[in-house]
Amino acid sequence: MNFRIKTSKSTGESLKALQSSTGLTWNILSRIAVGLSLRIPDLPDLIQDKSGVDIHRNAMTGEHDYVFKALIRQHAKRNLSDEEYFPDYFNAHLERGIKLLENEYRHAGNYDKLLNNLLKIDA
Amino acid sequence: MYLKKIHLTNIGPYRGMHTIDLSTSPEKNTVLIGGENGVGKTTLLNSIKMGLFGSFGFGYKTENKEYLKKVDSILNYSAKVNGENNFRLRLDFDLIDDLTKKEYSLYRAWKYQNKSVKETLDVLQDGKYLNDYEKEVFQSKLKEIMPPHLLDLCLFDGEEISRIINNNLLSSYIEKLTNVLFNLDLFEVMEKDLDIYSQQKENISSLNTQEKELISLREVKNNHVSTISSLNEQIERLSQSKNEVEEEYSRIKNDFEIHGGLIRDEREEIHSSINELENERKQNQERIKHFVSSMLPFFLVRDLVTDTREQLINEEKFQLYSSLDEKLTQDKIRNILQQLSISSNNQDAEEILKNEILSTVKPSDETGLIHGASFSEGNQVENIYQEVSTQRLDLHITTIEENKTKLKEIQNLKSKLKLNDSSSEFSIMVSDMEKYNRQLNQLSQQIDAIEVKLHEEQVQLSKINNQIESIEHKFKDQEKSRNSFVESQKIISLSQKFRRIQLQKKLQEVQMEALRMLNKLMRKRNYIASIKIDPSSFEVYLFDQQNEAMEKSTLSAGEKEILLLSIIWAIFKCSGRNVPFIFDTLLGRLDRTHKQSILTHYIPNCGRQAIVLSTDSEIDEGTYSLLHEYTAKEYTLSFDVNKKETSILDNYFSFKGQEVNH
Repeated sequence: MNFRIKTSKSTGESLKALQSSTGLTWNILSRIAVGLSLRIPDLPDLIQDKSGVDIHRNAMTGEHDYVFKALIRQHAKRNLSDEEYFPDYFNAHLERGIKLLENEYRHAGNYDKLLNNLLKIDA
Repeated sequence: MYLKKIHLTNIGPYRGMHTIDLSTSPEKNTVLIGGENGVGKTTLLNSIKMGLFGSFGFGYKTENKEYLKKVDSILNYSAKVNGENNFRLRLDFDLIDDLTKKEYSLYRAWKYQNKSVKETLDVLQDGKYLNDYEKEVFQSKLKEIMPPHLLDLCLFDGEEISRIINNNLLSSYIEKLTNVLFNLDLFEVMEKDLDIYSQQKENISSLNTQEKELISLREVKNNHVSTISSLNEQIERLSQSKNEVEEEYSRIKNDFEIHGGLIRDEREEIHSSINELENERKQNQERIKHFVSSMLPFFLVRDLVTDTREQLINEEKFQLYSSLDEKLTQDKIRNILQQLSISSNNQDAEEILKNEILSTVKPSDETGLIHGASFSEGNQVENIYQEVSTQRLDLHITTIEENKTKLKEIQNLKSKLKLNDSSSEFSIMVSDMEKYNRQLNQLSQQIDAIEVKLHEEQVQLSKINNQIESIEHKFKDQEKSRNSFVESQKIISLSQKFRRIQLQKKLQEVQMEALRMLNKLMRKRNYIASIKIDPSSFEVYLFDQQNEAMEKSTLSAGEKEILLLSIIWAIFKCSGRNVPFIFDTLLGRLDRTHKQSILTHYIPNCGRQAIVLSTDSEIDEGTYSLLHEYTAKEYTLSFDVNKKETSILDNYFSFKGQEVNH
């Protein structure tokens, strides 16, 4: 079983940049990014580039690992195998989500506004 | 004074106790004491004097060493050698004081203590012992009534009288005698004292320099006074400004305390609320961070979470359906039907029953098996769903809003604080306070310095005041002394005048009495017609029947003695003093006729008591009989050469016995 995720180079850089501007750690940034990505019904593209940062699965999903798995399965509408879920699909969502998060941050300008916007995203 | 008895115990040659009765009667006024040379007649006289007056009798004011030495020489030698330590004199006498007669016994005793003589005195007045205080009173009274030098004058020492005559000391002797007997010596002493007093105080020559000094001192005093007043003014001024500064200072201090205090409180409040807010903010941030890190991703995909949950529920239903489908075998259905008594041959019935049962749990058609989740996995999703579907999101939004406002508040408070800190009012007040404080200190120092100066000036002033006072005092004294000088001069002249008049008056009496006595005594009857005594020089002038002045040098020594005795007797008589006359070897120089006249006219007229001390050659058998008529007591002092003691015999050289035999 693979318990590590290796992001793409651009995702890695984005994580580092967002961490320095929001104060949030990579795993939390990654979870938000995955959340944003799951909002888009289309499946994300799988990632080949794995020269970014390296995050352990425990650190990445923590206690809610299954919920993430269930959501990604539900999003994919099929019973993904464990390997498919992590790191492939997770990585793909992260890749797509981090770009969305970056955009959001750029739009908001600071962490508080970003947070506010994220919370009011459906309103 | 009237001597009654004398007791001698171990005095001089009188070994053991001896008593001589000296009492007389008005008819017989004479006590005749015979004794050869060296038997103790002079000791007897000295004993009377010593017994009466103690140290005063020898001219000492206290019992000093000289006196005690004298006493030591008088005390009996063999008693001293034997260590008998019992030496006593007792005098019994009468004294007329304040017109009443009082009886006295004077006990004077001496004891050797640590080789030195100690004297004790007891006085018995009318049979009652006097205490120490009364003794003192008695002694001073005795000296008043019977002064020791008066006793000396009562003593007619033949040798002394011839010395007076030979050396022409008559006038000075008369002067002394009259002065004492007429109490004029008191005035004389007073005059002398006054004179000395006025001379002592008379020191006017120093007045001028002192006046000058006084003037300069007054100037200095004025200077000091003006300096002091100016210093006082300075102090007044400085303390006034000090008070003003103090008031200002306290006003500012008050302000500072009131406002500064308020600001301080406010600052603290702001600080504490900042802290509180920051704490709350921190807690909120923690909560938000937790939310962000855990729940935010699921909130972002709420719909998906709901879908997932539904999918899971459906999958559960589907599983129930499929397992029920599995369990409802043909046999079981048939069994149910048989129990319901429905014909089991009916294929359709079986099918219907099974479909109907399954339809109760049949999921929707779309349900595919995506998750195949276990129960716990389903629970996890369910929990998240619950979290997301409840309105927790708002809570977080408000939390974030809250934090925003709190941050703003904190920023506000902080800016307020900053404003306060940079506010200049405070620092102005503080610097003002410091300035006033400095001023106060300066003023206090100045005042202190001036006060020190002031104190110095005051000390100087009081010194000068003292000097001025003492000079003024001297002036006053001098004025007083000038006054008293005048007064004393007046008194002196008055006293002198009184003395002169008194003396003239008395001397006239004396002249008459002396002349009478002289004519009785003198062999040459009416040879001298009158006697004049000059009141100023006390020179004696004699005049004959023709009222012509006689040269005293024409008189023989015996006649001169008679003249002297007459004058002395007259003076005593005129003084009215009642004293014992003591004649010690008086008659040695006189011829028989003069002896006779002295014994028959002079001694019997010598008042109440005449004590005659004589040798057997002076008063021999013939002359003894002349005196016998007036003799109250007679004694012979007899000296035992072997025992070296004097004994007292009750007759006069055993003439009486012989006379009886006649």
